[in-house]
Amino acid sequence: MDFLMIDWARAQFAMTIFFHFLFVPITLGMTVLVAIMESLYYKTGKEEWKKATKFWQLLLAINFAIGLATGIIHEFEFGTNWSNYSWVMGDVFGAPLAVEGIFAFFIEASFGVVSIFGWKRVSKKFHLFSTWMLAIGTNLSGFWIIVANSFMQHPTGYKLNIETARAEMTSFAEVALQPKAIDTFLHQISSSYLLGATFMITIAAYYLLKKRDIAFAKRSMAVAIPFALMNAYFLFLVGDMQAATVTQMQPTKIAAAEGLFEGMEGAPIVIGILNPNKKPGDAQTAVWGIPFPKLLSILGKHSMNAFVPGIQDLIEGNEKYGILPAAELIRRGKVAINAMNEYHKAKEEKNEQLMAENRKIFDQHSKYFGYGHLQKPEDIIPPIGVTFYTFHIMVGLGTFFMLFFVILYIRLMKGKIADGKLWLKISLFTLLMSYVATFAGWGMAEVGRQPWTVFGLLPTIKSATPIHLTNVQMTFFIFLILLGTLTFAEIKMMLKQIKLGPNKPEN
Amino acid sequence: MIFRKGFWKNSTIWHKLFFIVSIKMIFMFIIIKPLFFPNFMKTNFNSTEKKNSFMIKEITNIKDSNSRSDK
Repeated sequence: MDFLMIDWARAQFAMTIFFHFLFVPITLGMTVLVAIMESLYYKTGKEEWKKATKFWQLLLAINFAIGLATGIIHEFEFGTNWSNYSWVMGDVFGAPLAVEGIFAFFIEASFGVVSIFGWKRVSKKFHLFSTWMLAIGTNLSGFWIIVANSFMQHPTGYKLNIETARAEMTSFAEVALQPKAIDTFLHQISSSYLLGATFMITIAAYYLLKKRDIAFAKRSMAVAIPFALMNAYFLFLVGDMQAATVTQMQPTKIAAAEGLFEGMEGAPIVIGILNPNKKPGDAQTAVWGIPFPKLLSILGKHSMNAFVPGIQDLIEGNEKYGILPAAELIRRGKVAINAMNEYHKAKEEKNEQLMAENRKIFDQHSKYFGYGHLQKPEDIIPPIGVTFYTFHIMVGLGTFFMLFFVILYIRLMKGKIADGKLWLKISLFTLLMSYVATFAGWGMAEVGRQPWTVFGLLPTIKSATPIHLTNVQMTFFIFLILLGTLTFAEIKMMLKQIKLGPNKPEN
Repeated sequence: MIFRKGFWKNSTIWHKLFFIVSIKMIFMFIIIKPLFFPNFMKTNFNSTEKKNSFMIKEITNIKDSNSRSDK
């Protein structure tokens, strides 16, 4: 394999963000769960709820502290490994990140201190307010990150400047409130809430299986199970919303995720195995498995007989449905790139007429700019295998959670949550399954966006910095050791506190 | 005040966390950032015009980036 600088830069980004994202969903989910528990303490005045709140808050704080600043590494990477991307997209991409830093992060830092260290030092009411503000701040922080990522998935509210080769924001509201950002945010927070709840369920199930701290474990289950159930179904609803926006905005991603090679009206979803030898245009079956007729049309277009384009339609075009061939998109992209080049040559020659002509051509073709860097029509398709399997793993586990948490909820209502070893043993693995589902969904979103860093505008291959390969390789291993050590430290500290339990916390 | 009293009067778990966070920050900002992560544009170009000119060349250069592995 010819592993280039760009592949190492991508691998480094994927590895560092993997470690960062181990902590993020627990924080997002647990801040809300801890706030719910403290609200119960505030309402009932029962010390048991306070004890439960403090125990989960301690685990949340360990997670928070180890995860703290692991995201800053990405800022380093943007400046060094991804300077082309940063130059072109910085004006748009930087804005939501700056809002996150100034607004959300300060809320988290200010109220986090009161929530963690302020027990007995501020009134109960203000303490509760601080805990909720910490949860709100954390979630707001997530919102702005999703806004930045959504711009990469579906760029909007910008104009590419021919003078500077930079995307300039024309509407902050359009960037921040586009449907892609809203749908993705709802999907992300509900999956994080589910993961936070499974974190609690897994630990509570461990106590129940060990027959220790039973009252505490039952109390934690009583909060976590309804929360998990609610979010499992909410995830289904927002997942449906998101499938529609992806089908509309990133048809290549949905075609790859479903292994749909030939577009059709009333397109099915096939649950099965992808044929690795299938090529666009050949007669082979794309997916071996059980077809569910019309389901993809319903999912993607909310209509039983709607047309969903396949990989072949997107490569070769489909006149009937107004889909341009990829070759035409590439041609238009090259016209835009050439116009930018000619504009700057004309500028050097001070030929204003030629500058105006090229600016006009550029403005007409700039939305295809990124396509000009692709070599062949097939390049518009993301890696099909990874996109297909990550999507199906996510959906499969999501479906499992919808069924499993109904069973747990019924057992909880019947007062049987502490009995039944089988259900408790399965509960032990819900955190792991939740992580797999979250990472699979995220993998599908990012791998399915390829070959772009910013969809249609900037291909990944043009986003990296022309630097030495060895620089990236070296920092890859430095980060692998650093982040691996920190994660090991966190897990060790976390396990120690779990072993001590809520009745003997160190704090 | 809340942080000072709350933090110092609490037991060792917070001190351990504070230690880990401090080491991490020092390592990242004093060693990793200056040694391994220079800002490419700031380091190589001393004016906006030069940065702009470099980027125009980069972004209008239609070829694959295989040559980047050789640099």
